[in-house]
Amino acid sequence: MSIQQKVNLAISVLFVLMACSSQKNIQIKSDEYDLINFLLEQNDNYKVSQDFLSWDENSYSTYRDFNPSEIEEFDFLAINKELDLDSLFTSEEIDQLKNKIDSEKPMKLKKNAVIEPSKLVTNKMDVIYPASIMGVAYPIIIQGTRGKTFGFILSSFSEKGTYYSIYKKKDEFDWDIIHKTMIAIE
Amino acid sequence: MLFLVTSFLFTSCVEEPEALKIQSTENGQLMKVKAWFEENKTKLRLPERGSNLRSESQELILPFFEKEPDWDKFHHYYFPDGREVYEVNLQNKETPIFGNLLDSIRSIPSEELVIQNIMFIKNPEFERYDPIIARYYPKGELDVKSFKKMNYTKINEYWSGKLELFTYDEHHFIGFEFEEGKIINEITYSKNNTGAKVKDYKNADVRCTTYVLPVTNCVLTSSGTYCSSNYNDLVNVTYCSTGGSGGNYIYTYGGNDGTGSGTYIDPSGVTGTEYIVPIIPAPETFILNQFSNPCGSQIFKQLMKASILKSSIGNLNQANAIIQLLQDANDVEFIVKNSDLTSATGNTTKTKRYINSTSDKLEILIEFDNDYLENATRLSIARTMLHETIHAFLVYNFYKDPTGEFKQGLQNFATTKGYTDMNDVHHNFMPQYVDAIGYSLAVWNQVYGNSGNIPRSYFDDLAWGGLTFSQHNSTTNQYTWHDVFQDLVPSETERIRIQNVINNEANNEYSAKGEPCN
Repeated sequence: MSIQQKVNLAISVLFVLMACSSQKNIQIKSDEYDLINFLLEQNDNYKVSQDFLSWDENSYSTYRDFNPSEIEEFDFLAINKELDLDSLFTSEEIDQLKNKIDSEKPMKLKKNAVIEPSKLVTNKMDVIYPASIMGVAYPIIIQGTRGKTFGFILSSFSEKGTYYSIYKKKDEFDWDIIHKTMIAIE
Repeated sequence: MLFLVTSFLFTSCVEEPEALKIQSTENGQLMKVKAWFEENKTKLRLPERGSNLRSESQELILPFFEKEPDWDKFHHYYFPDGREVYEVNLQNKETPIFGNLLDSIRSIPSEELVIQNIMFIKNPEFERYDPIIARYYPKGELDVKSFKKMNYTKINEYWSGKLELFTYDEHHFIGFEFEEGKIINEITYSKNNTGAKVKDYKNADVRCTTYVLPVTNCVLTSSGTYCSSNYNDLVNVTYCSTGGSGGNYIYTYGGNDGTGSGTYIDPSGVTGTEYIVPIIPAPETFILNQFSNPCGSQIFKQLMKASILKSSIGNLNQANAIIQLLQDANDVEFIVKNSDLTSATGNTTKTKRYINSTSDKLEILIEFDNDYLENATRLSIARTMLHETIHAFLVYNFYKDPTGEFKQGLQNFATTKGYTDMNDVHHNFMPQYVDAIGYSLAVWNQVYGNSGNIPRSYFDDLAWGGLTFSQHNSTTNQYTWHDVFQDLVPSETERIRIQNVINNEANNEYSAKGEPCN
C-alpha cells in the first residue's frame, strides 16, 4: 500500500467515524425533538413557545428533584407518583442522567425540527389573552443500557399549569408515559 | 359540594400540628445546650451593682423567675457573623405582658399572646451558650403568632408589635418596635424619678403595684447606637401577684416615636464573669411579599389588610379569610413575587409548593408574570391574586392534612366527575368561591380601587376569571369551557359576555372599568 493509499484510507476512516459520530448526534437530538413533537401532537389545540422552559427555574436541578419517590408532590392525581428512579435505572444510567441534568441546554426550539413551525410563538408580545399556548423544557434523554430510551420533560399550558413527565420511547412517533405530575397550577 | 364546603370550614379551624421534625444532628447539639444550661443556670446572673429596679436602680429589671425551656420547640439558625443560635420556647406560666395588650386583646389567653423564648448563643471561644430572653408582643389580634411562625431572624412583614430583649435575670437592654415587619423604633428604659402612677387593674385575684419609668428612644447608625438623653414616654411597669404560684408580671407603656435601622447592639455594662451577655445583631425580617413591582406589591398589601375588610364584609369574605389563614400557616412560607414567567407561554401566574434549596424551607410560591402586571388593570390583578390564593389554600391543605377529610373530599369529587388532572379538580371546585371573590373585589375597589361606581354584578363576572375555560382556539375563537362554569352559566351568550369582561380587564381594553397598574 502506497503512502497515498494509506492517506486516502486514513481520510476515509476519519470520514466514516465523523459520519457515525454525526449520525449519533442527530439521533440523540431527534429523540429530544421526537418527544417534543409527540407532545405537540397530543396537544393539537395549543401553539408552542419557541423559548424552552428552564429546568432550574422550575426547581429541577439535582437528581433528587427528578426522582418522584423522593419528592412529596401536591398532585394526588399524579401518574405513578411513587416511581423510584433508583430501582428503574442502573448506576450507569443514573450517572448519565446526572450529567445531563448538569449540562448546558438550548434556549430555543429549532424551527425546522418541529412538525408545524407555523405553531411556534416567537414573540411574547404576540400573545394576547386568552391564548392557548404551551411551553416545554428541553428534554433530557437517557439511552438505557438495556436498549430502552427514556425522556424527561417539563410542559406548561396556559390556563392549566406546569407538569413534570417521564416517558419511555416505543418508536419514533410514540412514547409511553411512565410518570406525570402537576408541579404548578395557574 | 356542601360536604366540601363543610370540610373547608372544618379544616380552617383545625389547629396546626405541634410536632417539629428534629434533625438528629440538631437534636444532638441541642442536648449539649440543654446539658450546659442545666449545669450553669444557677450562675446566670449579672453581678450585683448595689441597686436595681426593685431597689431604686435606673435600669428596668423585671422580677426574676427560673426559666423552663421546652426543648421540643426550638429554632436553629446562625447570626450573620457565624455564631450558632438555638432559640428555645419557654414553657413558663410567668409571662410579663403589656397591660395595653390585656386591654385590647381580651379573647386570647396570655400564654398564647406572647411568644417567650430563650436564645442560646454559642460563644465561639468557649463551650458555653450565653442566653438572652426574647419576648414577642403582638400589636393587635392579627399579630398573635405561634412559636413556629417567627424567631429572631424571621420576622415577616405581616407582623407588628414589640420585641423586647432581656438578660437571663431580666435586665432589659433593648426593645424593637415593628410595624409590618419594619423596625420603626428602638427603645430602652430607665426609671422615672418623678414619681409613680397607678394603673388600675381590677382583678379580684390579682394584687398589683405599678412603677412609672421613662422610655428612651435610640437611633441606630452605621457608627453606633445613639440614645436621647431626655425620655419621650413613661413606662408603667406593673407587678402583679396572684394566688397561684409564680404570679403574673404586667408592664405597660404609652406610645413613642423615632426611627432605627439594623446593626449590632452592644449591651455594654452588663457583662460579668459568670454570665456574659453576648453582643447580638438586630433582628432580621423575612419578606414574604417579594414583589419588585410596586403596583403589584401595593395591591397585595391591600388585600392582606383583612382586618380592614373583615369588618365591612363579614362572613362572605372567605377569600380574605383564606389569605389570613395562609399568612398564619406555621409550617409553610407563603411567598408572592413577580417574575418573567418563561417567555411566551401565555401564563399570567403560577402557584406551586416546593422546597427552597437555598433556605431548605417548604414554600408555597405564587408568581405573577411581569408582562401581565404591566398590561392588566388593577382590578384584574386583584382578582388574580385572590384566585391564586385559593389555589395556594388548596395546595396547603393537601400538605397539612394529607389523609384528612378535605383532601378525601376533593379526591371523591375528582372520582365522581371523572377528572384525571389537578387542573380540572381545582378549577371546577373553586367556583364555590366566586361569590366570595366578587364580594371581596367589590369592597377592595370601594376602599382602594378608585374605579368609580361599578355594579356588584361586574365584580361577580370578573370573579370567574381563571375558572371559565381550559382551552381557547384562537382560529375559531371557540372556548373549551370548564364543566362547572358551563353548568352554572348555561347560556353560551352569557358565558361569552362574562369572558369578555375578564379579557377586557386582563388586557386593559378600552371598555375595562379598572385602572392600569402604573
